Amino acid sequence: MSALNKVIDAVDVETYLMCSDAHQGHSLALQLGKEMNLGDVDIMFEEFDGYGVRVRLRKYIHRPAQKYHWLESDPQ
Amino acid sequence: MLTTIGIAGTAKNTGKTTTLNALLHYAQSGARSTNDAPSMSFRAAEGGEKSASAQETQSGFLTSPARSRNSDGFGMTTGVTSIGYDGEEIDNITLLPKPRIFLNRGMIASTSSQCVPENGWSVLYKTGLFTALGEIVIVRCETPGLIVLAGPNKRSELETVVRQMADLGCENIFVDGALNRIAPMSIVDKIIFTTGAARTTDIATLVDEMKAIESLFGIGRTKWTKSILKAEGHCEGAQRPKQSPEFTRKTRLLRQTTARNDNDLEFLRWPPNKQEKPPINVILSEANLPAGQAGNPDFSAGNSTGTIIDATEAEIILQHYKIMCYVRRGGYPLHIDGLITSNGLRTLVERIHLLPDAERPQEIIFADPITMLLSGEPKTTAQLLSHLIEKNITISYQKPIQLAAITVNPFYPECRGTTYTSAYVDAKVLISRMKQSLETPTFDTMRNEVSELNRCIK
Amino acid sequence: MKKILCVPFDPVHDVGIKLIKNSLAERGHCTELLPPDLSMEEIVKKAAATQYDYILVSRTLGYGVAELLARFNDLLDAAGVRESTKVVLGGKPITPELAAELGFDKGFGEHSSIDEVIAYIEDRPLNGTADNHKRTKPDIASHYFYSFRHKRIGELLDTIAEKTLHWAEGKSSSGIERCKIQEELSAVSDPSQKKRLTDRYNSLCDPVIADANSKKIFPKGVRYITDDEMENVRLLIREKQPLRQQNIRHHSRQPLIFKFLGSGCPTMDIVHAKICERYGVNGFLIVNPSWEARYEGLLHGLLTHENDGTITSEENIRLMRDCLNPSTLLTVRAHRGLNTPEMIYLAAKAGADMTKINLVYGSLGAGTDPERLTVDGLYAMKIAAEHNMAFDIPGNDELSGVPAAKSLAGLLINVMLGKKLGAKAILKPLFCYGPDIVLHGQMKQNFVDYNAAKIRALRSIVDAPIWPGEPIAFMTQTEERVQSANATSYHAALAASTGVDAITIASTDEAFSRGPITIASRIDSIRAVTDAFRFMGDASFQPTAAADNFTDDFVRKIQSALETVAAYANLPEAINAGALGSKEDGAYPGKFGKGTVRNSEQQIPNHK
Repeated sequence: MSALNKVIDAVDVETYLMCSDAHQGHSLALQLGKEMNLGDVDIMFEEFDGYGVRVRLRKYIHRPAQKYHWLESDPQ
Repeated sequence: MLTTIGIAGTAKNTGKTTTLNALLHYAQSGARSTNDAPSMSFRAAEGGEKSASAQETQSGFLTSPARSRNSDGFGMTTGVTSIGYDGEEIDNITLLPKPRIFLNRGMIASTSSQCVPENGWSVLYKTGLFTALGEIVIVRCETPGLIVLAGPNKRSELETVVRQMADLGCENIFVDGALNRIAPMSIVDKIIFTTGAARTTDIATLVDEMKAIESLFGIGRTKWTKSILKAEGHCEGAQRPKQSPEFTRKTRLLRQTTARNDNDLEFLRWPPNKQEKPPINVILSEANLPAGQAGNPDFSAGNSTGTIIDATEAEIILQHYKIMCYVRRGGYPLHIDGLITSNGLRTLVERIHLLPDAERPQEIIFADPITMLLSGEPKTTAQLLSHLIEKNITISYQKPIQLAAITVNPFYPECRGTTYTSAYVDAKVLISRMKQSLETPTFDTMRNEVSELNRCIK
Repeated sequence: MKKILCVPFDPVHDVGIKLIKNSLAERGHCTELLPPDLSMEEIVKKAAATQYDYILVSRTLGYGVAELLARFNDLLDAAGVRESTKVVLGGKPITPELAAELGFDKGFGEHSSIDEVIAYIEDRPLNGTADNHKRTKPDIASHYFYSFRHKRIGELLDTIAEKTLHWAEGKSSSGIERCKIQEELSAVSDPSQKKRLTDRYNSLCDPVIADANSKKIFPKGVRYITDDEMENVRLLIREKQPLRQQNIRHHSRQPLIFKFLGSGCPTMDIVHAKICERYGVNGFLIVNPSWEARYEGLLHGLLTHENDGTITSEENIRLMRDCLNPSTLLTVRAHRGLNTPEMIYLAAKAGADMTKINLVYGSLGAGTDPERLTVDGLYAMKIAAEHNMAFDIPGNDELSGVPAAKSLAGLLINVMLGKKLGAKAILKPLFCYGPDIVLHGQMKQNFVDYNAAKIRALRSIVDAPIWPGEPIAFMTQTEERVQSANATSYHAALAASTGVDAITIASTDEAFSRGPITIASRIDSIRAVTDAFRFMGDASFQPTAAADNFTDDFVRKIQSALETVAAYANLPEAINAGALGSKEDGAYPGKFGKGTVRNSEQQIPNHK
């Protein structure tokens, strides 16, 4: 049973990344998504305050009209 | 001998920067034959991969100055400017990596003062012109490397920067486009147009559009230089164009001798009915075309004085043209100086069709191909012009620009929600259809054909 | 006066450009707003027909919009408009790079203020900063006179204070001794004298502390900060600047905002603090490790600590003071343990602005012997007075179960003692859901009445600053982030309603005890409070009639408690007897330092 399959819609990652400017913060945020094995993520929120970026990343696992793994009965 | 070469695109991500980089690289390397052409194929931006490869393959040429000794290379100082801002690492809108501009020692570029790299570049000149990114400065590359290009966003300022670069020794100046902007490119001698799937993924549409663009560039220079009737807009608050004393005298004579009704006397102003206060004036005046000789571009070509010629203005122009011709008893060419919209052009065409042969202008002179392109959809514009040509009216430009080459890019950014990924249409189909339909040399951005491209712009 | 054409390319999101147009018109510029449904050619014609100084275009981005805007600039250029007119782009995602790429002369994004746009159009530099309030250091206690409005309570407090001061006269402890040694050490420069004093100091310390200070044998998890770490922190402070400084307070009548620091590591604290400063926090309270309260003597040096609580050595405090903005307030905790006087002295020396003293809670809920803490605390108040340091009195005994009225009575006793010694006290009633409240249901209906009543009651008794904490919303927060942020923001809004001088707010990690607080969770609650203050402005919560009952109740019960305390010989006796919190209430007089108070003539013995 895959835990990700049980995610109804999305996984959000909220954190704060130290960086030198908004551009770098943005790239780091996207890179974090990859490093965390989420692949391409949407950056829902990012704000650079001079020290770093506060970010919220989102990876959609199940979208409407897709196959919902969590709706099916477990194979075992 | 100064040559300015513009690189314009029909949209963003059509390969302008890639094309520019390839040409610059070629200018530097001075390859003797296609076999020796640099191994860097000018690749479009691919998702996740930066053109750091550009740096790797440059290594063999790091120490040679921009002035190459070889006859296939340019053998002259190269300058690069832009009509906006380019060369940044990530595309501002799609956030995908973009190629950056790589220059070699001796090359000259314009950038913004805050984008000058810390080392390896010397600031030659501060232009005093400002963009949203700060002051435009002209720099020289001392150590080969990447630079962010920034340049003036308006035609008059581009003229200035190009002149300044020429003064600093540049003989070849590339003008990089930005997005699909082209207006300032009116000043260049030659242009390379880039198009591709980023404009539309429908290949047929791409081909049609490029064909139309090609036809618009195919129009030649006018032979007329004297005493033409020039239509130009006039804007309240702006400097009124000066009328020659000769013209003023003739006008006065006309007033005295040919008054048929009030309307005719007011042919210099719109509207005939004095009560209405117009937002703009359209003036038909006698003027001499500036003498632009081939190879010696006149930078004052294509002066617009402050309006665009829409349907209303086109009507006025023709009315007055009619009257003027009647009064002056001659066939004059009509010089539409400045921007005419699709509607304006359509009105012109329709009205001219209704005129008897004798009253039609023999020739209509437009400013330049760039201004023509701004009219509306190239296809529409080309079609409208063909209607005029059917009626044996010569169409010409005050300042033509040579369409030297076309490059085609199968890449496009595919939008997924808020992120973009790289995608491609069928390159083979795209290129072959383009080559079939176009007469201008056409190249695939993805393939290594730099030396042939370079030959096109020489 | 400039001529400006405003072009809303975006018919939906045109509020921004309308606001700017209005602001410009107010300033006497000639502005024109085009209707949103004109074709591009029509707009260009209009722009070409009159010579404008600026054309402002507003547009959000979207598919194909960039090309549209680029074409607009092309048309303007070809029409000759650009010779005399500057074209400006505004919209939420606009950056200078984007504006430049699209061919505009200037771009303004969502973070640009109207003032910036106006300054650009008027061709002048932006006046001042985005900060509406002057960034001078606030003085919370400055305009209070500590006059007692409630006569009887005032009299009782006077009695209690006089008795206690009298009792304390001639008494000393090793805590006071060590403080005196520190004072002497500051004055001498001769190395042999210094050594003598230091040795004497160490002899008065717990072996753990003495070993650490003299032999560098540190308690578990404590070590010096390395030079590299120091350098990196200083580099960070130098290189990074806050971008778009925020204010939490919507106007200056709202309370100042304080946050705790105390991760254990000064570096981490400083990084958190600088970021919080940018989000508008006005001051910080450093929380030291709880074990510090158990030992005689303080650790010295730049020390970092693996567990909760940053060691408040003089060097650590000075480091934080140096790294924080000069206008940021810094409070050092000293209300419990055996080192109150020394801590306050060193804090003052290191540049801290305020401290904490609570003779009642420090002994009733925080484990220190009442007699010891009273003697130490009174000396500490004198030091605070000397150094012009205000001290807040945290009513944390409520958290043990002590009824609020008794806790508030305790606060008032501290205020009176401070007044008599020349030190400025700040009342710190809790905005919490303490055990007594849970048991007796005062907050069953709402959280507004009871909290508001505390403030009202205190105000009716004394003219003194009030700074609820610690933090506000204590015991109402869960680990669920949104709930936690909300709880904090509502309590903050209530505090603003009642007109208090400052509040301490928690992060959204407050209820989570298994790990350090994250910067993200701090920002969360700061944002929530910022929004709450924006929402409230000058408006306020309307307590119900129950609040009046609570208020009267408080005053009565405070008086009653003070009557009881006043009957005792002195404060420590009253505390020990349970007058300010009994065992039934969950309050136990502390044991640390029991029996260590001496008369001054008696020699303070070395620590056994």
